Amino acid sequence: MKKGKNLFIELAFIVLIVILANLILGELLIRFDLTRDKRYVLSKDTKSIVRGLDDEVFMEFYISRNIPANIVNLKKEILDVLKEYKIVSKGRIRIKETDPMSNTDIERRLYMYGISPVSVNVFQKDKAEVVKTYIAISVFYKDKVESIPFVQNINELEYKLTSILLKITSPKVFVVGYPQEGPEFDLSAAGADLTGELAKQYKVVPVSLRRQADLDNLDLLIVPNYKHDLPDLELYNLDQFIVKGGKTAFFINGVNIDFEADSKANLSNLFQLLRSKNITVNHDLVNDYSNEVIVFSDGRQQLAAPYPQFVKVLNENMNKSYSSLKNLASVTLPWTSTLSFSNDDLSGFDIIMKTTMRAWLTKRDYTIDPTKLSPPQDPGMLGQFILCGMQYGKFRSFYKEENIPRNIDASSFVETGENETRILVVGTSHFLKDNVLKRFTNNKVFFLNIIDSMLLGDKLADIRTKITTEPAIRSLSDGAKLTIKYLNFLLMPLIVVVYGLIRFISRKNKGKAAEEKNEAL
Amino acid sequence: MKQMFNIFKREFFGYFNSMIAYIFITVFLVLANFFFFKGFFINNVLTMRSFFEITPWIFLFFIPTVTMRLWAEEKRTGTREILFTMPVSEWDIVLGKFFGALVFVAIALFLTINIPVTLLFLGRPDMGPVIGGYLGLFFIAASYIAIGMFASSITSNQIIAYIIGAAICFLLFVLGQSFVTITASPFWARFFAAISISSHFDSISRGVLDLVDLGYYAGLTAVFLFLVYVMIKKRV
Repeated sequence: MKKGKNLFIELAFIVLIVILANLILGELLIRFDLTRDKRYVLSKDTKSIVRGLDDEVFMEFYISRNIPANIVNLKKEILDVLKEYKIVSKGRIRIKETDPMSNTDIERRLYMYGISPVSVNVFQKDKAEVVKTYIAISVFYKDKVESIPFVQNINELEYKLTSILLKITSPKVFVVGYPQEGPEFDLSAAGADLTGELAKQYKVVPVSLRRQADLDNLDLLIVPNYKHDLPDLELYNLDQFIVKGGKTAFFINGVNIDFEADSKANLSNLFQLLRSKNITVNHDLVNDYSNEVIVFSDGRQQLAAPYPQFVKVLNENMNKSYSSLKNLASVTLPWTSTLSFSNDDLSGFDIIMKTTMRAWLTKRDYTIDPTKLSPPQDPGMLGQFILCGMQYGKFRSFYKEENIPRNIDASSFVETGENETRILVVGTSHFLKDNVLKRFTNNKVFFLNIIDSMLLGDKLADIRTKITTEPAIRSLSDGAKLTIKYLNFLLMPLIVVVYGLIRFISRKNKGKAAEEKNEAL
Repeated sequence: MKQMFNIFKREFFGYFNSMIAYIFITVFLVLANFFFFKGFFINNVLTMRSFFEITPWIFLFFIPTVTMRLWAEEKRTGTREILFTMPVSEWDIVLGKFFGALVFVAIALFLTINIPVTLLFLGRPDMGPVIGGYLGLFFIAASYIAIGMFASSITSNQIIAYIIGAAICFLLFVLGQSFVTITASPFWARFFAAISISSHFDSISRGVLDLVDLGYYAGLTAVFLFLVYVMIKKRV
């Protein structure tokens, strides 16, 4: 009896130790992130921004006390992230958890910060109900407040918090502009809220290329595709913006895709302007073995097939010296054209993205029909092509003083730039369109990263690429895929079976031999 | 220690002296590879996430088959008494049997190495979650084995030992699944997540080694091994 009692006490003691040890370990927040890009601990860039804070930052986490069960884990994860910020800041960041529903004054205050309760589904007593709750964070620095009105998951939390820190502690706000009238599409309506995403970090303004004043205060101009010639004044203003040191990102199509009739080469005068900056956008369409599957209709039924003109640029074909691309698994460029860059005494270039070695070009007869895009018979037609690049340095004007159109006031004309700048060119604008961005979420990450990289360096890009999807499988033929699949299904089980049989037979023979020996004795 | 190693050898090689070990490993490998490669090229991503999602479920049904005989058979055949007359402590026997089963399951797990090798052949996968996932599966296996040994120690019927072992593992695993926590009150949801095997596996399989998770698996295994020890001690 006494023995049983002692065992019970020992067991209770062990259970108690286990529970206590787990509670203590939970508070210590000691974890090792084995992932390559250290995606579950704060990045180096966040740490350096947090350590560089010159004044105290206060982060208030708003969460209702009676949260639904499905949010319990999210709350713990958010608090863990905030605690990490606090630990790294060495006292510069204070955090507080507040239940806004406990006091109407707090709710009113939150309303001023743009935070309102969100509706979430709960399942209680076999019924699905909708309840209101708060899951938001406000960051206070001096007299500034920035908020995340709804933290849906922690995947983007570090990016959002660090960009808020960068924004509210930075003395300068960069201005990004985009022409609203004239391009093939309006960037603010491009989908996936591209301008909204940019506005979290920069001041984003629509501009008219007709007004020089609109361009004067810009740090970066985004130029989506133009299907036609720009009027003289607009081309002149754009040229002078670049020559005077404005950064520009061009997303421009070498071929105007037409779904109803034949697609044609894009002959906009923008191409001549770019040529004057040592950049050529060729009038061709790239096809690649590395591509995405699309669904299309042959008139009778919906079919899904690999589409070589939806080029999937893999990480291995990206320039990793841009740390914004280091962890980006892939980018999908639909109906993209090849680019050529050259050096001169004023400027140089970086190739940012290339096709695989097994790409081919469609020239002149620009068919986009998925059933007619078979690879060339001659392997010599396959090659590697440039899809995105950055020209940097100083630039000469497209104009000479004597050939500036007469109707333009050229009093402040600059022929050769004195300030260094950068021109980014991607050979397609289709990758920024709504339906493409929705399906290929990495495209948005690439767009935002490359803009960040042009304005901020790589401060935020490293953090954003932590959010991206897993790396993709390199392109393989169907036969290779099938071989790999069956080899894996069969190889290891077969090895085990063969080994088992050999061992079984050898044991049987040994047993037999031993038996015979015994009998002989 | 030496006695424990002798028990370990007896148990470990005992598996490979019968066909059961080969059948177990073969069926495990076929299922694991089948479920993983079924959608691998369709998903087109270099990750082992689907493998780490399905393998704890496969373990739920397989590990109790490994552990059900550990004590139940000794009791049924009467070899238990012989074992306890030998100059070995109860802990030597418990730990020897535990490590014998654990190394056996670890070998089965190791034989899925073809999957990460294929991933490396096909590109540049992030090996952090792969290493984390394997470590997590190893810890899950250790917990399941301890639970299975406890189930085997309370009955002399192997089928009952299997059912009890699988039921406890299943319960501890599903408690942390969203389809259970979503229906619970916040307090119970927190409690279930804290004691569930699956919720602690989630972060390890993402590639994050949190001391809380490691402490949980160590604690769970220790508690059930102690329970086995209690059961033996009671019956000696």
